[in-house]
Amino acid sequence: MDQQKKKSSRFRSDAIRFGLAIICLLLLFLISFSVGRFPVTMSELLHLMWSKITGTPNNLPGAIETVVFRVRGPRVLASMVVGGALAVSGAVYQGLFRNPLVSPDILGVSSGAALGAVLGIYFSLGMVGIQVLAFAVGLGAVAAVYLIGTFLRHHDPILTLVLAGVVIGTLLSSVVGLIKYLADPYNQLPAITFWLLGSLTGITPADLWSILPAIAAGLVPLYLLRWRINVMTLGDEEAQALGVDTQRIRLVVIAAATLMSAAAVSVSGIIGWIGLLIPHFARLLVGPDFARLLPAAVLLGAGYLLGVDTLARTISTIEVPLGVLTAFIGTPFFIWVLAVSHRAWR
Amino acid sequence: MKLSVENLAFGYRRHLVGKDVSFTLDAGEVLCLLGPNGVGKTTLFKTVLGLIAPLGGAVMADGNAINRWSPQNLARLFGYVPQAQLGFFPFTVREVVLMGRTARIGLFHTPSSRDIEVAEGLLQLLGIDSLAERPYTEVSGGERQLALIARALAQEPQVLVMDEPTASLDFGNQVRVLSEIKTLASHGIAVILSTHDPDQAFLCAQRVAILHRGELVHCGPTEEVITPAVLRAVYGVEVEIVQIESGAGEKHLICLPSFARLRSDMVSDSS
Repeated sequence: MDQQKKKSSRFRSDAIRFGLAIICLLLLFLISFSVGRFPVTMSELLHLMWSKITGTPNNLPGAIETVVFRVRGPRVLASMVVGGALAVSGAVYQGLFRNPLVSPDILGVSSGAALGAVLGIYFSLGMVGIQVLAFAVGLGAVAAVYLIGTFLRHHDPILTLVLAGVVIGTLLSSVVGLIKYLADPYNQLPAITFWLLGSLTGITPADLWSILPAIAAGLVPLYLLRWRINVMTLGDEEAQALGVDTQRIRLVVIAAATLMSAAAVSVSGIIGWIGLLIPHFARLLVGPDFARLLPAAVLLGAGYLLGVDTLARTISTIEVPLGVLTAFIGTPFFIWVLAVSHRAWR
Repeated sequence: MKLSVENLAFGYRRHLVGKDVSFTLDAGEVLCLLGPNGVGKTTLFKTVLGLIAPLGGAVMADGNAINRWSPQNLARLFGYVPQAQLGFFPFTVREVVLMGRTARIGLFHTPSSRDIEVAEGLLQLLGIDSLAERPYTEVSGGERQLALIARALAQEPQVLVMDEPTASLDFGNQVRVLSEIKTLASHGIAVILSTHDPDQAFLCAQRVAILHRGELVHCGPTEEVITPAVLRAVYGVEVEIVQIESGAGEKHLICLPSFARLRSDMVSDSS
């Protein structure tokens, strides 16, 4: 009886928190559609969406429909998908590596993707080529780190992976530096710099469709393995003593989280901070249990990048690079989270 | 269930910690492992549990070598109480105990209502049900230790391996844990525990094994193994074993250290 009461109150408080997060995300979603160089009023926006859903004709100017569905639509959706994906992979990596300072780039996915994209720009491969290379080299970098980790068996597996990730990441970054040095300073260097700072400008529905399967393919196993991931946060030996096949689960979880972040980064460029910051915030909100942490990270990550991207395209006449803005907003936010949750991780 | 450890050599790849370790353990038996600090008791336990590959010898359950068993099957055989460490993420005490059910939870599932029932029962059994909602990272060291014991029992193991289960407990909780060990043994669970206190072996164990300089130097019934001569050889201190009678007329053995002789030893050493 008492137990049931406790359970239902836990359920209710969770429902309130998730409900609030969803409402905030919806509000941001609507605001993001309406603000910009071509403002759309809320009533026009709601009218347009209603007519699209019900299939009835509307008598709004055609320009509004173009702005909402062709220009802003893909960008709004992409920011949510990329933000959610980066936040989830950050939450998973932090749990698996038992380290609150870990973000999705710990195993070199970002530096690998950066090298791929920079190579694509250097060889003038075009948008699709750049994305495919960024994705492939990002995955390749993590695979290399993982192989090094399995060869050096006699050390603690987690420490080996992190150290291998750091050295491979540094190596790849220096290659990126070399290509920047060699690149044409008028045509290529600005594009490289732009990519390395992250941006969702000019994203197309095709870009969005190209990353959705990879992100879904990463998210589904992570959600299914949510209890095993909880146990993995106890560390390798304890998890194994409790019956988890740690080697196999670690491989699947790293592969899934890497797939998500590599897909996200391949269309958005390097956007730091989300994978580091949002998991902390999500844990503060719903606790460390992955069954609740994963959906919370998706919602908060989606909302955070949507908000930041909306700011990026509206606060100034030129686009502010996303990587810069996430850091500017993320730093004070992170310090605040640290101050509030002083005992949440130790 | 009969657990037998045969000529086990253990350690880390290039570093042999101990060898020729053999003992057997029947259902309902309590075996107490004594040995000085740093002798490798934890490494021996991890090797028996299959967490570290043995460098030689074998661990058998009812005559079957367990070195190729899956982690899931091992976790149903062995419950493991590691030395209490700080948790990393603030899971609640209840969630930590539920993690003991993992080997009985499907790969893609979360704890069922039956798992939650088992966890609640164990929280009550160990007297920590009032802490169920508290973060594991914020309760005291002794409470963490009790939660780890509950977690190991949630595995519903046949053999319980406890690495210094009383190390961080106050006197009351030490007594509670020792009495719990006796109860578990009477229900047919085999228990191996390590401790630094030979008196605890007298209180709860039928047999004692002593790990010294990488080998099991003694293994046998508690009263035969724990003698002043053995304790002097292993720990380098003088001890008297005293028999006392409790109010209920039961006879008990306790160790009484002799400080005087220790002091005179030190004087003669330094001269």
